[in-house]
Amino acid sequence: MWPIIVALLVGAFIGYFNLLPPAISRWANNFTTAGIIILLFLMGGQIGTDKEIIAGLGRMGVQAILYALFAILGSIIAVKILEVVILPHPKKEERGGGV
Amino acid sequence: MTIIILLALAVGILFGYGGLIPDLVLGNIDFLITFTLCFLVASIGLEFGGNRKILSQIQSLGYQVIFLPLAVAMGSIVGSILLGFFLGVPAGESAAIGAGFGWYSFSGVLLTKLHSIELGTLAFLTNVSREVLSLLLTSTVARYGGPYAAVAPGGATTMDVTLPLIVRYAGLDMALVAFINGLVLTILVPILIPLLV
Repeated sequence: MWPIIVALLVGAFIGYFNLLPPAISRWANNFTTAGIIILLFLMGGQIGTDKEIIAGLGRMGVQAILYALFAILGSIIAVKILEVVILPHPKKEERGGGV
Repeated sequence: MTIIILLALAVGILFGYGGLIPDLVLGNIDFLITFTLCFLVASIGLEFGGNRKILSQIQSLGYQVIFLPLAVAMGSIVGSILLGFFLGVPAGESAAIGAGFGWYSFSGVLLTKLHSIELGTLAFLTNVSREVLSLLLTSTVARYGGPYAAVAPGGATTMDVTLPLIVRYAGLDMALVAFINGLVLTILVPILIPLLV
């Protein structure tokens, strides 16, 4: 957990004081895309090499995926209810555009 | 992007399963994952720090944000109990599986110790699935459910693994919200699981 917090703070520090050369920051978006792809490949690799996970998935994979889906759906519904009741609304134009 | 995510993950699983990943990478895979994650989180921090508008928004971020992880916790547990009802699994066991909030390594080990290997393994697999499904669903949920809903699927992982994707699809102003959400849920896992099971 600590490496993540330190990374976040270091990034924020560099960003706040504008310490990154513009040539690099122009590429930042491509770097993050590459980073996400590498991260997922590595995570997949970790799952694929773990024989216990693979064996477990064969035995109770359907049940596990169903539990995950129900927990996710429950969370989304709960958040939507909360959003109507209490949460502040972020301004629309501030949202990043996803494809 | 979702296709690319799915492909990267699938290729990783296949490579891992087929033994195609070099030992040098495999031996250091935990380090490499943490390193990549830190790099991604630092780049989020970078955008964050460089955006004065966001900084002023943080100050206006209400105390209400604390209710977000509580809603995610409640939704996860209720959803799991509901499924358990259909599957004939006792409510406490289902609730404990759901209260892993995607933190598979910890919830799996904890439930193995507290209950049984069987339940621990199911919790482990469920929460691995939750993390993977969250990665795959974030863009869709953000598009149809809005920025707050996009934080919901990831559970405890919204402070690290799913954070980069949430920021990409729900916007930079969700970065801190997602981080707080993941942090609170991470703290709740070791408290809730022993209480529920």
